[in-house]
Formats: sequence, C-alpha cells, structure tokens
Amino acid sequence: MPITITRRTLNRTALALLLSTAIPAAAIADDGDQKLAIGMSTTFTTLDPHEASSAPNNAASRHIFDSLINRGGAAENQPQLATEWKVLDPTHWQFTLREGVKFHDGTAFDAEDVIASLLRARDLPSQSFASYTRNITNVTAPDPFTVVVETSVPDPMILNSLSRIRIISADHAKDGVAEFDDGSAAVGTGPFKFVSYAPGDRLVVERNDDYFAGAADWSDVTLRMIPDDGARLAALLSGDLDLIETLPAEGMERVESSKDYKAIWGQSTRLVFLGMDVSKDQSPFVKAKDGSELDKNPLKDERVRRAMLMAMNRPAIVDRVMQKNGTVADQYVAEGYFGHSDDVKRVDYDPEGAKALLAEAGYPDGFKLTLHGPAGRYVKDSEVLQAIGQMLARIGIDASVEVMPWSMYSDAYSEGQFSVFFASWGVNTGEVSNPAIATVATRNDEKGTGRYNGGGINDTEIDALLDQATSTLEEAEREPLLKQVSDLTFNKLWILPLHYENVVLGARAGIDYTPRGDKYTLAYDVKNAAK
Amino acid sequence: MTDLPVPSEDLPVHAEAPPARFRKRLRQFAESPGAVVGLIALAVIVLVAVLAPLISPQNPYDLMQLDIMDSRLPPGSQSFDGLPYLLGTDSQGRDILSGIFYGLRTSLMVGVVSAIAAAIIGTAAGLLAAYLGGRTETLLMRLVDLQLSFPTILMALMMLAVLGKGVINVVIALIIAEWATYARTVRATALVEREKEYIEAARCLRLPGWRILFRHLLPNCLASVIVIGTMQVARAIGLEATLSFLGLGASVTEPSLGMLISNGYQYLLSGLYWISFFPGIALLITIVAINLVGDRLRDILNPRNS
Repeated sequence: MPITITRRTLNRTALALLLSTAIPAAAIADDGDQKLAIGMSTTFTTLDPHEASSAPNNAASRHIFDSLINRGGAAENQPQLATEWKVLDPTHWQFTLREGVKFHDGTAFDAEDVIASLLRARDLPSQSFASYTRNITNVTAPDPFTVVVETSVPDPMILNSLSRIRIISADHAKDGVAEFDDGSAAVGTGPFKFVSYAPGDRLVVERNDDYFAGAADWSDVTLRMIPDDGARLAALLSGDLDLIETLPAEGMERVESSKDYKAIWGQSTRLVFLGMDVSKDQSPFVKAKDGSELDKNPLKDERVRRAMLMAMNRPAIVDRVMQKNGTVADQYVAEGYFGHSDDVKRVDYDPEGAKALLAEAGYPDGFKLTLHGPAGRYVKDSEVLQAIGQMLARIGIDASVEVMPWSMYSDAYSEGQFSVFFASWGVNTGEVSNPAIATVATRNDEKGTGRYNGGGINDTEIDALLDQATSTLEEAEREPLLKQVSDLTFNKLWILPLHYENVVLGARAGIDYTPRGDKYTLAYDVKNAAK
Repeated sequence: MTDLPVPSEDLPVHAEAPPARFRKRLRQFAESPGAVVGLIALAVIVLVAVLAPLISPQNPYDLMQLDIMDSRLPPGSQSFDGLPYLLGTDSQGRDILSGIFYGLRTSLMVGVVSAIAAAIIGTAAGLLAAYLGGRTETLLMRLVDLQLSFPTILMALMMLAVLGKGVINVVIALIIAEWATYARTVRATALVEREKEYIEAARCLRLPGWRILFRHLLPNCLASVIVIGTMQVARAIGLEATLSFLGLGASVTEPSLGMLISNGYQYLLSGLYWISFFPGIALLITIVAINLVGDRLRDILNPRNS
C-alpha cells in the first residue's frame, strides 16, 4: 500500500502534534518532519541479524532489514523480498524475488544476497538460528531473481523459518558483530536506515524514502531500551517517548483517564490453559470429598471436563482478575490464524448446567481436587487459579490451590505430576501444529512430540493428523488437517482453554498501532493518526 | 530476686509467696501506661484471633464464600447479598476484615508456637553449655556464634528453600533461626548463677545433675527467657509476614497478614490502598502491643531494677 506524503500534510501533522501534546524540544527544533521515540521493555543485544535469535533482536533488525517472507501481525506469511513461491518437489521450494529493490547504500538486491544471507545465518558459529536453518541443505539461483531452497526433509514450516532470516547485502556477508553494530555493515533493504546505535541504550534510524512498500510515517525513529517499568512510564508521561511497550498496571489508570495518552490493547498468541491428568486411573490430587480414594479418575470423563469449563466464568476472570489483560480463548489460535477452526464452539458459563452434567457423570456431590500452578510466571497466574478454585467450589468441586515458583513448577507439570495444572504456550509460529505437537500429541521422546503433554493425553486420531500435517507442504492441504486437530482437542476438551494474554502498549494521543501477536513493536507499522 | 535461694529440693526457690509476688509485679506493670495499653490491645487481638470464626462476616478461607465479582471493592461497599465489606475486598473478593481476623490467627499461632519451641530448645542448650562447660560448651556456643552471624531472615529463607513452603515449615524455619538467641542469653545468665552458693550447696548435697539443672538453675534463668520470649514472638510474627510477603509462607488460599499485604502491594500505586493498608495496620498494632508488654516485662524482671 503506497503512501504518498506531501510537504503540506507533513507540516500540518507536525503542527497538530505541537498543539495536541508535548513534544521533546528536539522535535520542535526539527524542520517539520516527524520523529517517533519508542520505549522497548526488553534489551536487544546486537544489530547483526544472524548472530543471536531472540524476540527483541529479531524485532530490532526488522527496522533495517527485510526477509524473503514477511510475518504479518497474525503470523500470516506475506510476500516481502520474495513476491511469490511454489513447491517444486517435497524438498525444493522456488522463490521469485522482487525486482528493483535497492539496499540503503544504493546497490541493487538480487539472488546473490539471498544466498549469502541464508547460508550466513545457517553457518555462523553462534548457530542461534539453527532451529530455522537446520533443514536447509542448499540455496541456488537459476537466475538473478529466482532462488531455489533445498531442504533435507520435507519441511512445511520453511516459510515461517524464512520469515525469521533477514536478508543482508552479500558485500557484508563476511562482516561480524562489530561491523553491524558500528553501522558499517548494517545495510539492509528495510524501511529505515541506520543512524547510530548505543548498545543497551538506543538505536536511531531514519526513513528509507525509497522503501518498496512505501515510506514510513516517521522521518526519524529512536528505539530506546528501558526495561524498568516505572522509568518507561515516566518517559511516556514526560513526553520523551511516544509509544511504550508493556504498559505497567500501575500506569493504566493514569494513562486511560487522560485525553493526552491512551492504552493500546492487542491479543498475543500466548494461550493459557488448564491441563488435566486424563491417563492415570487414580489421579494423585483428585479425591472423594471425605479424602478417600475414588474408584476411578473423574477427569478421564469428558463430561466432567466440560462441567469444569462450564463452571468457569472466563469473561469475569479476564475482566476482573486480569484487569482486561486477557481475552477469552476457545482454542490454540484465535480467528485469522492458521489452523483456527470455526467448528470449535465456545463453552459458555453455566453453573447450573455444569452441576447437572457433573451429576450425569456420576458425581452429584462433586469431589475434591488440588489445582497446581506457578506464581508470577504468567499474567496474574496465582490469582486466576484462585478464581477458578472459587468457581469450581460453586458446582460442588472442593478445589484447593497450590502455587509454587516457576523453577519448581515447570518440570513437575510437564512430567505429569499434577492432576489439574495451569499451563501456557506461546504460539510463536502462529499456527496450530507447534502448540499441538508440544501439548496434546502423545509423548514420544524419539519424535520429540508431547514434551509438555503433562496430562498424558493419548489420542491416536490427533497423532495421525499431526503426522500427516508435518509432512504436507501445501498450505491448502495442511490447514484442514490442523483445523481437525483443533476440533478434536477442544471439542473433546483434552485441555481447558482459558485465555490469550493481551499485549498492552501505552501511547500518546495521535499514535495508531495494532499490536502484533508476537509482541514485536515495529515502527513501520506505527501510524501517525494526525495524517 | 533479692532473696537468697535455699538449696533444698523441698523449699521453693523464692521465699516470697507467689500470689503476693504476682500482685506486686502487676502493680509494677501498671505503673507504665504504655504497657497497659499494649496489654489491652494484645488481649483484644488474641480474643479476635480466637473468636475469628464466630465474629468474621465471611470465612475468607472458604472459596465458596468468595465472589470474584466482588473483587477490589473499596471499604464500606455492599456485597451481593447486602453485607457490607467494612474494610473493602482484595483481588479475590475476600473481605479484608475477615482476612485480618483469620490472618491474626495464623500470625499469632506461628509467633507463639515458634517462640515457645525455640525457647525450649535454646534454653536447654544454654543451660547444658553453662552447666557442663568444656567441650560441650565450646561446641554449642560456636554453633550459636555461627548461626547468629547470619541475618535471621536469610537463615529462614535458606530453611524454607530446603523445606518447601507452608505454615508448618515456616514455624520450623523460625525455630531453627531463633533458638540461638535464647541459648546465648540463657548461658550467660546460667554462668553467673552457676557460681552462686546455692548451686554449690546443691552440689555438696550430691543432688543429681538434672535436678540441679532444672530445679535450681532453670528457675533462676527463666526471667530472661520470658523477656526474650515476648520479644521473639513479635519478631517471629514480623518474620512470618516477611516470608509470606515473599511468597514462601502460608498457602495462597489461606493468607496470613504478610500475604494479605503482598496481595495488595501491586495495587498501591493505582489507588487501591485498602488491600495492603489495613492488614499492615493490624500487623503494626500487634507487633507494637507485644513489644510494649515485653519492654515492661524486661524492666520488671530485670534483677538489677528490683
């Protein structure tokens, strides 16, 4: 979507900005162009885009560099430096490159740069991108604007992997961290050009007016790293920053009650759910009300699981307990993500129905169980768990709550030591196979499946679908398989979906931004509402 | 202790008749208005803690009685069924007033039990060290030195890291962290007493060692034990609150005062002061009351003052 910017609109915007809010003195002294200062809640460590893969690093490098494939806010694969792609055979993908793209130093972009970048990311000693590059055996260029990627095995996640690898200029493929960090090698095709970088403090970039997708709304962008919540909030309120990541809870009221600032909410891809022991005949933390052993494990009964979910007033949990920091979830991924199924029906809050269902399952008087969870790992984890305890108590299930530090909890829950446990999965790939293989597939150490299947779920139908999906390359064929996985998991309620955590940003009025599922904050997507 | 104790097993250690002595002490105690206020406050607190199930508007430990829809209501709000939340509610919809009443039970229980148990262990160790001397003394007292060189809170944290969380484990951790204080004080007192004539007389009578220890030495060291004990109850309550605040104490569904404070701490900046404020005040009053009483006891029981 090309955006045309005229001098007049720019000036008008600057004037509107001046009138509407405090702008740092530097901005006023500027000749009318727009400056954007973003406060990041995490620290990125280098501008070398292939050295260390972490969310902050990969977000920062996206300002200067592009990839073959762009990951949209809902993790969808969009054309970026590759305009189209097709599967030649199960181990060969062909990409057609965008023509006429120039690096910031004026040199033209072609297949040579792609080959250099993919191989550099694969072969750097740090091996930080290995999980994305390990299947890539060779990259060849039949002509300057076509690239063929060869993989060792059929890899349906290759597009997702390529979206993580930034394309650098082949001239700088031999350079290292030092050259990228001093700017001499930080030459990409992205929406912004390098100006200066102070590690641990800030990155300053300026607009690339020739950006192929249209120039950004901002002439100058500063990414400041301010991990301290209070300091970041103060910098927003004092006008030093225009947009901050992770608006701290104590600042929420302050920001929302002011017309000069606003909170921006978005849904992340982190799903929080309750896992349940559905394999043991007697579950260690489920007992009859008098404390004696039950003759069978009620959690194996789908009706009991459904009754438990019906007992939970999830809208109240996200509203009251999480203070709107969550969105009620029904399946692994929200609508719009790959593998989301419309056939998964929301289980609504219905305590009376829950009691009836519990009676039908043979537990008219309920039973006793312990809910286990971590403290301080996820948004309001222990408070959410207590609220669930309250709600289960109302349908006759005596629930006690035990929370422990994450370090004690994480291994114990994934190994299946608990009966009902609080768990979460950040769906970084934005599609269903990644969370399903980890949390619902039958545990199989050889295949690497079910590593976080703490409930001992063993559903052969789901396993077969996942096996098929991981060897199917065409997205059109893969999606129905993953939709079925979603259907089976959440209609049988192998796990009880609770909510997606929300992303909350703070901004001054006049900034428009749609938060991304992966929590990256990208200046190119920040819009100047005054325009 | 102006009277010289008579070294006979059948005679009381103190010549003065107990009721008369008690009245005298009571008079002495009443001379300090602060101590009387402290004693009254303490009596009220103990009464409230004991009667908590009867006088609390809500059982804050029963999840059935909490309603998430009532969470974070300010003081004086009405609950769904019309009962007022006098001091507001916390993030789980728990009535703060009931939470304080029940929390005081946990706090006092932890404080008293750990102080008494630590007193018994510490006193026994101190007496043995003083009476036996030699290698036993060296061993016990170096152990005490070693332990006192660590800050108490660090000691308790280390114990909880090993034992895991829970109220019983907090009590155990506090006992282990506190016994050394008693041991050192009792030994010092006992060393002085050991040299006195009545012990010598008892030895001459060839009384058995345990008899000298417990019938003669111990009663004369008790005054200092009582004084430290009172102070240690207050200290233990404060420590329990600290440990709970750090998330190592009571269970989340059965909060003590420290945990109530920690629950509300994150809301302080958004103006929801009552979740932390009132439990904090309750904790403050409890500790001050016990300290006032303890201070006065120290003044009265100090032999140099009488």
